[in-house]
Amino acid sequence: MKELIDRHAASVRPQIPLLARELSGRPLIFLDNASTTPKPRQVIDAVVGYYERSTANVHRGVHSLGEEATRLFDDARREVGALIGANPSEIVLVRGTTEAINFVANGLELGPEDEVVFPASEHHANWIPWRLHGKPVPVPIDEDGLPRWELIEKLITSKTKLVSIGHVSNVTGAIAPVEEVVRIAKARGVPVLLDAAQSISHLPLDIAKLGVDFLAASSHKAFGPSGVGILWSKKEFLAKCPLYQVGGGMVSLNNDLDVGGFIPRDAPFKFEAGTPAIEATIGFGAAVKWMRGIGMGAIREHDLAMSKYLFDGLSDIRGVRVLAKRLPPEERIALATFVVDAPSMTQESVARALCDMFGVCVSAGFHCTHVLHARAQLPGTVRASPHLFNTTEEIDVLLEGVREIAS
Amino acid sequence: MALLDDNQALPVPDSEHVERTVQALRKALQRIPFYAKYVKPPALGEATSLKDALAALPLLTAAQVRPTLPKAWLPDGRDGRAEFAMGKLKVVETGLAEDRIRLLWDGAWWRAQEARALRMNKTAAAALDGAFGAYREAVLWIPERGTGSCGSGDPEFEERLEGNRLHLNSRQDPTFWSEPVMTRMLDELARHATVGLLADPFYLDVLARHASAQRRSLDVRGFVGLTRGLTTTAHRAGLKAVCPTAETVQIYGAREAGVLFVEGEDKLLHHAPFTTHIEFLRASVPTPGAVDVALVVVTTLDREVQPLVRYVLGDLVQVARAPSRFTTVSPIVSVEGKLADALLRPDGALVTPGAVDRALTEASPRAYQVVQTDAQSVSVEVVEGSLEAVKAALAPLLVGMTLTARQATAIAVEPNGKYRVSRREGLGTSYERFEGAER
Ligand SMILES: Cc1ncc(COP(=O)(O)O)c(C=O)c1O
Repeated sequence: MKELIDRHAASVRPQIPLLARELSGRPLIFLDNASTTPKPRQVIDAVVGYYERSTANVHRGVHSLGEEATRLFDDARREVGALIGANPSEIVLVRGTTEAINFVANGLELGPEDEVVFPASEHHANWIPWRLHGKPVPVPIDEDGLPRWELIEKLITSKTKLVSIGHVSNVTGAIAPVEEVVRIAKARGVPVLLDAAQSISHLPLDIAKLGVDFLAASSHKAFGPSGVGILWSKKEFLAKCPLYQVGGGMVSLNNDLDVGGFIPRDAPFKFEAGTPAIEATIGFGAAVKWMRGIGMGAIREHDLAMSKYLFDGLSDIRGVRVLAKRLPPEERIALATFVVDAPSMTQESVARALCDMFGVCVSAGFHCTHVLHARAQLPGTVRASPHLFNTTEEIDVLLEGVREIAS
Repeated sequence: MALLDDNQALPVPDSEHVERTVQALRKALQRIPFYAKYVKPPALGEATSLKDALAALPLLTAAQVRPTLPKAWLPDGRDGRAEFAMGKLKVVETGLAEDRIRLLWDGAWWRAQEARALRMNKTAAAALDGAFGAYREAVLWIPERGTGSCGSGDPEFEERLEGNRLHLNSRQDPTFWSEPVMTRMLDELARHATVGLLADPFYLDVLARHASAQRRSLDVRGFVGLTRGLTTTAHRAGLKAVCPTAETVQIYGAREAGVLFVEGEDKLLHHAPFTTHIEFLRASVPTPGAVDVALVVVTTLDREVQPLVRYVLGDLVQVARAPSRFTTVSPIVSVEGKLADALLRPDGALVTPGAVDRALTEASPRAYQVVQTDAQSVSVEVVEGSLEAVKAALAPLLVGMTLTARQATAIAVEPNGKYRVSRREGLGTSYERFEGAER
């Protein structure tokens, strides 16, 4: 197991410049990938290359640089399409997962009585939109923050307009039983949205197999720049989904007032008003290309072994409560959220101590999941979220740190 | 000039092809400012044979045409301003970023020479003569006008009608065509009572697959002319499924020169008379998977504006070992794609896009694009096909190179709306691999 983890990590570490950094004389140990991932050299080069060689606006550049930039930009949509098995025409480029979910919430034109069923453990990005649009119907969770999936069938009623689930929880790392949820929802004619923010860089994704109707994801959690993400949906939805922002780039023709209205372009372009995040999108394409080059299967192989290594290690430490540790590695990713029993220290200060004393970067707080923390009566938590480049040696440092703080 | 034999639809051979070419050379050099100023050709003496005349003149490349303005290409004494105002002449662009050139476009000339060339194919000739009902054609390629970003909307059916020619498409990149747009095209093919469809094979493929999904066929009564791109094995199969009866005719033309070759019933592409003279510069390096490969150099015969003299078109062909029918130029077996897109093996060999496609006949992915990223590396994107099968099929062609295969759901369109099955990133022009083009 150790050998496998470290072999994968060793093969990619030299490609990620951030990992060469030191914190107070100690090597940086980056274990906060669920927040955002460091960027490989290929991504940095793609972004810098756009600045240094091909700066131009896209889809309207008539000169050679405009054509180059457009090609690089369009390639990103194709890369992501290939990653999830979707045609590029079904991928709307948005700012990230949050915007993608808001896009659907707006596009479904939900009334106040239209219900949206989602686990109470969801990230705010998949919680708050349902307060603004429609009526939230949270699926109860257990004391570990895991959704009680067996209850979902009863919660789906004739008023349910959408089931919206996180593919991988950003708190427990649990993988949702997507195909089962889809089966239940489809039997009732209800569409399913999948928040793939956490899964996109950890699990092989295939929209045909998943059977969902919408998929949302962010570039920055998948080794790409922030400021860009995707909403994937079927052509039928995109064809009838109302426009919520308009302007340049999305319009095919704008007539003068006495002549007529305006003609939007086809999806996805009609949803992409204004100059997009060009360099971020180009970087996103490079990131997806990088992941695909490694292979999502190989990434998951590291992830499974890492998950076991991390949970075994944390479970051995007294004074540490690890959420959802009963889940087998196949039902989770390598992401551990835990509470360290350290007198008079908040979980945030535990995380800061890990950084200051050991060079270990982890998250702490509520991870945009207030309801989960409230229901599980957690005073905040610490979250360690390794990825492909992390070694067992780094996890050992984390464990040493937690052990020291907890004792 | 007598274009047609009295008793048959086919054009008669041009017995004066050689003299016509010498005259065209002379005229171009005398009357076009560009040649006097930029190329400074030696004067051609009265007695010069075609062979000597050509040998005395340099090759002309896109790189030389690119930095010029249209006025350099108007014959002395012609009033360009007036002709632009009347719509007789237009300025159009052709080619990609690296080889884009501006062209003086004479629509009437194009239509006349195209109709003349099409007649070399018996079915097309019969179609033009009304064998399938009054001749009406539809074209399917990059929209001349239509929905780009901040574009001009979707022109109506009537607005897309130009005489008996219907422009089917008003949208860019077919990857993003919506179902209603494609259904409209299918409907319009029928409504227009289309006899001849002239199409870019990549665009047609998208429409053909839509038709297939809708269990419809392409309503084309006479023939389908495939032009503007390399027709792949998968394109042919896709088309056959929804258009089983209409004959397909391969047409090799270039916006800057006219129609060069048209497929005959013998499956060879024959040189069109009266429009161009062609020189074949033979490959001086091995061309695995392709036989008698040559680089096409064109001299135009009846282009009054912007006549081209020994212009390197950039396309590769397989020259046929068969007699010529209409001129002194040999027929060709196939258009092999652009030299700029051919793969350069480290051992010096050149792999044409055509050779790549033939190698993939068995594996038959729905679509693919092969990209040479550096001297040793090739990557191939595959849409709906086995990566292993594609790699295995290409390996014998790419000895000495590393090949990676990747799945894709769509192939990238070029900014000018064309698709490429093969692409080479920044490895020079490679003219030196052709006899007579080494300089
Ligand atoms: C499960 C989940 N959903 C949604 C989001 C929101 O993503 P973004 O902030 O990139 O829009 C996150 C990010 O933390 C997340 O973990």
